[in-house]
Amino acid sequence: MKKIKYLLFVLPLFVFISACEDYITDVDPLIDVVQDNLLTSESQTEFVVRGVQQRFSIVASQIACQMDLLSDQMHYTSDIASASFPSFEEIDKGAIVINNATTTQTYRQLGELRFFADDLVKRAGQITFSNTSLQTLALYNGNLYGGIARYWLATAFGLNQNEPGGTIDAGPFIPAATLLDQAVEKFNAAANATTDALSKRIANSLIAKAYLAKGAYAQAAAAAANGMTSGDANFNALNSDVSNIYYWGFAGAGRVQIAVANRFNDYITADPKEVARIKINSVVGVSKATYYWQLKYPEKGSAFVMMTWKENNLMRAELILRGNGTGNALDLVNAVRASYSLNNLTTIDLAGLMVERDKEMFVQGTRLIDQNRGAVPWHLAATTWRYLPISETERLNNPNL
Amino acid sequence: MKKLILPLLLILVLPSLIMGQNTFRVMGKVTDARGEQLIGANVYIKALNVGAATDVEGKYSFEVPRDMATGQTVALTVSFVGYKSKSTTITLTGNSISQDFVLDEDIFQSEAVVVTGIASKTSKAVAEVSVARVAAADLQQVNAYGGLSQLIGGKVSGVQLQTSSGNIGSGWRFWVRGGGGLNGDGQPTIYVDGVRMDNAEVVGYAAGGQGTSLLTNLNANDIDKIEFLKGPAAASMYGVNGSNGVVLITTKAGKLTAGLTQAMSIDYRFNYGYNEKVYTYSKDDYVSADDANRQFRVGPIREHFLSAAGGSPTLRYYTSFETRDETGIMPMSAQTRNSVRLNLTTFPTEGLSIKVNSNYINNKIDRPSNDNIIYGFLGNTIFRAVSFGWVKEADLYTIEDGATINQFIGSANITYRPISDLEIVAGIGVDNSDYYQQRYFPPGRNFGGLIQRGQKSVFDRKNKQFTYDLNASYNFNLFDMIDIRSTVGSQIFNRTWRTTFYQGEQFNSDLITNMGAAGVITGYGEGFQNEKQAGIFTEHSLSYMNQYFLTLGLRKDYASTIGEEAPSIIYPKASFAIRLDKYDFLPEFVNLLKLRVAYGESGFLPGSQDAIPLLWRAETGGYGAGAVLSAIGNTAIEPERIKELEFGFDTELFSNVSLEFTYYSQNALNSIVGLVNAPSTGKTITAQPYNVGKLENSGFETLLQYTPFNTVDYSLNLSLIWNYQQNKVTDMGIAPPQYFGFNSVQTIQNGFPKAQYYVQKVTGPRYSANGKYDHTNGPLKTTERYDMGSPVPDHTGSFTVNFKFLKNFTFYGFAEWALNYKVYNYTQPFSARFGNFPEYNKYMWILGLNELATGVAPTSLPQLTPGTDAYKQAAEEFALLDWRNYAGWIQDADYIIIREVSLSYDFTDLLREFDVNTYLKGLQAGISVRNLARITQYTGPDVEFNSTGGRGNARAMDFATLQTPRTVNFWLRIGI
Repeated sequence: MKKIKYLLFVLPLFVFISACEDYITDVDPLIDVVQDNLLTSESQTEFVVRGVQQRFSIVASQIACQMDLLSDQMHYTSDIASASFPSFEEIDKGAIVINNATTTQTYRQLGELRFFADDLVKRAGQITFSNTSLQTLALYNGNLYGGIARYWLATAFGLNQNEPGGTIDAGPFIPAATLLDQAVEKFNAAANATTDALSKRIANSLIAKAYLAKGAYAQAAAAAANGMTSGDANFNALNSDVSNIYYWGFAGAGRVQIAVANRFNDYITADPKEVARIKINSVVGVSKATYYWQLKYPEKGSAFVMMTWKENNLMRAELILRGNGTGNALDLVNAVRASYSLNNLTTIDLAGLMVERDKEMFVQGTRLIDQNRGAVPWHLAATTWRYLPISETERLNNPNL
Repeated sequence: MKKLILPLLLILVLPSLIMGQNTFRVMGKVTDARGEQLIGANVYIKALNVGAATDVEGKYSFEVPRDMATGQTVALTVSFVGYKSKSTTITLTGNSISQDFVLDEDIFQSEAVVVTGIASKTSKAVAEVSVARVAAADLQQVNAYGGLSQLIGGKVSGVQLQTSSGNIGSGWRFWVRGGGGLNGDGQPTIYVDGVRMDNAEVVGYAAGGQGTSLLTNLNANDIDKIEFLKGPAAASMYGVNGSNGVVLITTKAGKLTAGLTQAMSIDYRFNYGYNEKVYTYSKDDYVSADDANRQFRVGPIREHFLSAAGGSPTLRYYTSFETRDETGIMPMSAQTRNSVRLNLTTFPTEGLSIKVNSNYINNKIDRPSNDNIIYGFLGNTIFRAVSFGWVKEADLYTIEDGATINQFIGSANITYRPISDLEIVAGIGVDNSDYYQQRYFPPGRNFGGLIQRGQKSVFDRKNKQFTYDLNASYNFNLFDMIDIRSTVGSQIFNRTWRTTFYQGEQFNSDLITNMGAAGVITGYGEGFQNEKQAGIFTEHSLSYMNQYFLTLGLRKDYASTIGEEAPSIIYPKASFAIRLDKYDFLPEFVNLLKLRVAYGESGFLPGSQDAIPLLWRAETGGYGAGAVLSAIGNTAIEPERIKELEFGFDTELFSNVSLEFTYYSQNALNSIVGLVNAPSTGKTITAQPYNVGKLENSGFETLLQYTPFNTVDYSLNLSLIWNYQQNKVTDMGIAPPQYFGFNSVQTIQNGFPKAQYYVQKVTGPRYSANGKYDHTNGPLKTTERYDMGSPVPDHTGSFTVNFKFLKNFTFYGFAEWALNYKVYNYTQPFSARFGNFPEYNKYMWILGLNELATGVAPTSLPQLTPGTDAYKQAAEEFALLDWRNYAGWIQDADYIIIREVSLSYDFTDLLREFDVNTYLKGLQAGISVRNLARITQYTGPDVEFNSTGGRGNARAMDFATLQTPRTVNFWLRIGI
């Protein structure tokens, strides 16, 4: 009897042990996430590409707005009632602590964009495509956005106040010049991956932009010559009511924390027709002072302007003025002005061209690059940050930095 | 009609007539050593499963069916909380027997049955592990409690409990002993009547990072007792759920009465009170202090609680209903909670009992925007010199943030003894909750621009978790000397969790507020997860001569994973106790002296998705839905292990002193640490789990209780809890130091306690070329960081006074204290940046920095000349105030809090005097005050809150967080 009792006692235990593992692994499938390996598939390619583009749209206006804030194009003041981010104040003054919450977030998301884009190219290489247009889609976008990520690492961030550059995949610090070369390489790969003419021209304009930032005028001119031309649609970062443009939420109709420099109002005062391309509004501060804020991106879902044929024209004009490239600089500038029904200029020089760039690329994140490449004077003290700092999180967690 | 009356009368009277003729009556009186009658003592014949509770005169009486009273001799037992049980044998012959009892006080509670494992209970006198027990029902006799956290905080040795904010329903955080390992959130597993509870802090659409604890739904009046197994040594049989301890909450149950014909026990409690602020902001600290103080209000509390309990030999029942309305100290802060409970225990046949407990709660919680956001009352007042600069005051009052929580907690347990030595227990429990939050910004208001034409957000969280238990215990004797109880069992946990959320904007009318009236949907999403855990265990307890006690056990745990092999781990335990008081060499005044030692292991299993290298989710935007990263995993992840050794002693001296002392040492190995990848990897959406951590913690906990005098009219009970804990991270493997919290002031790294403050110090002012203080770049700092103390106190404790005087008055006081504790005051330096700190403004002016914030008037003080000694002296002082001096704002926060004070009067004697006790068995009234006073050097409003909530690594962060209130309650309790 005792043995039977023990048997009754122990038998269920063994049954249970054998059933345990099966039971606990039989769980309802996840519905909101997917494992990495399942995305390496032709059928998932477009989904992955859209993810890269989505991250691009998040990063683009965010990084551009912060670059504008550091430049002389925008500024922060707590006198505006809705301003509450001291981290913006640090950027505006170029006195940025390396754990600045705003720039830390931007560096993190830029890292994601770089990874997503490179991962797309790698994934495309592992897929045997039956539909070559999907392969093109993957390779073009992977390389293009991988190039853009490197371009921003080179132009927006720095290790020290005057040392531009960034890091990739927890590697050592990469100076800006090297990163720009890598960006060009990526843009070239994108151009080579596609047969679409506009896509190629966009890639070439971005190559020109990278070379211009590097000061390699001859190469910039060659690329710009094959870049976007009049009538080409803008190359934008698309936003939506769900995924908002940064300018709207922090420097625009959503909430004004960052104002634009008063000179943009002066531009309009000097030539009222400029309202066609310089879109601003005003707000009265607590002290009754008047501030201006951008209306170029009036809605949450406004698209951020990344590259246009007009910028390409102005690049070509500058390069011509610097003795590179062919064509007439004044004609290129006036073609841009004409698109807004502005009067033609009669003369153009580098200083004048920089004013045109200031107006044309208003709130596009290019002004800081113009200042840092010496085309426009630096507006803060020499000891201030001229780039957004590589975040403390990167410095602490990257053993190679 | 008349025809019906006679049969009805017969139906009512006949049973008592029959029972009167066919029953054997057992009756008597129960008093204590002073002759004081004991009300509510249980007197029962266990062998026959009959008994009754004593009435207001300490008398009991119950009947034994005649067919059960056959002249045999049985044990009649009386038990009462706080007194030592007594048994005597009686012979059931004749028609009745009278048996009185005199009980001795049990200061150590040695008779109290405590849970010592998942399937084991024993008396505290022989327990081999340290088990804390809170007699919640007794505490409710002298105080009013709004929730579970108030019943635990400070009352359990070795356990710290802090609420995150003064919001009603705010989350709270446990710190058990040395804080457990490195992994997880450090929270114990909580069971209510065997149901594993959802202990989440739900945030939803955020109100400044402050979430709501689902445990706030529990009605404290229903709780009978709380037991706390504080670490792996005691809780290892709970497996991976026991590494941070296990809290076992038992709700009230019906008591034996003589039969259904006897009146049930009805308890009604009315509670009226209010919440008010404890701390008043000073104009010395904040320019806008008056505006901040004006936001606070006195929030009324009204609570009705009604319960009924009783029982017969075959059925015991307890049922209750509670409705509680509470208003917080901030606008838009309130709770309306309704709770209904039914607990039934039946004994259908000999050897079989079935217990079914059920509790339904409907709780509506309104939450203010009170934290570090521009929509908050505090954010708009204490951050800026000019209040309501971000959102106008009138507009703030239109924001609604309310959650409706519906929760059902139910359990069914069957205990079956097919033979006398074998006990089989099977149980199932469910905790099913729906948390539905709506946040609404009406159109036509200005909320700082981001929200235009209104916004509505809906967050819905459905959580369903089942607990299944099955165990069998077999008792036998070896060599007629060793009693052995062997148990095998299993436990399964299955949780399904789903969230949905969506947000709409552009409401063109404030008359229609459903999501269909939104012009545009601006956010949406859905999450789902199902996870399972299963454990099997075996435990063997040996008792020799009722003097030596040994328990050995093993548990193996499995957890669900996605796409990988299920991880499993085995945790052992062993414990031993010896009753030295059974030897002759000890003096007589030593009533009890028990030495005990226990060793156990527990830990955490990896999360169900931790072993997947990368997980991707869909994110929508201008390009449609695309794949973005969701989680970073590690294919090599393994379960972690926490080992604990505890030893100590329990003693009772002179029948009026008891002392419990436990020393513990924990060693966490293979701890799963979430490493933050470098942002340049792009893999930063979550930390990546690694088995790299090692942590040691140790400490002691003591409970001293002393009753200096105890007479009928006067008695005094004192108790002191003193805890000490220390912990140190000893190995982080490949992981670099981790920094977190505002301005990364806290760290996890080798050689430091978990979450220690570790920051650079200011060495002095930095000057610009013109000799002025360089306010743009801030003060000079050291390159290296320094240890600035801990956000977790190392010495904590409490002191309790329970003074009964003039027979019927009771004064109860309870204070908590903590030493070596620091809080990071981030509120004041942040507000300084907006000109709201007068002292800061003064320096800005006299140093000629010309950066006074808008609305700040310059002082009348003369401005100093750069380069002068006076200027340099002022600059030195200002450098320490500078908001970038993080170390300077980590402040001492040692505290003594007068936590509970109450004065109550028991009218029961008066009821007897006026001979109304037939109808009214008890009447007590009292006044209770919670958080009467805080004594601390800390300059902020509270020392216990945390603006980042009750989870996560960051702790003791003060950033415009709502202080916990003072609560005053007037209560009345009527027993019928």
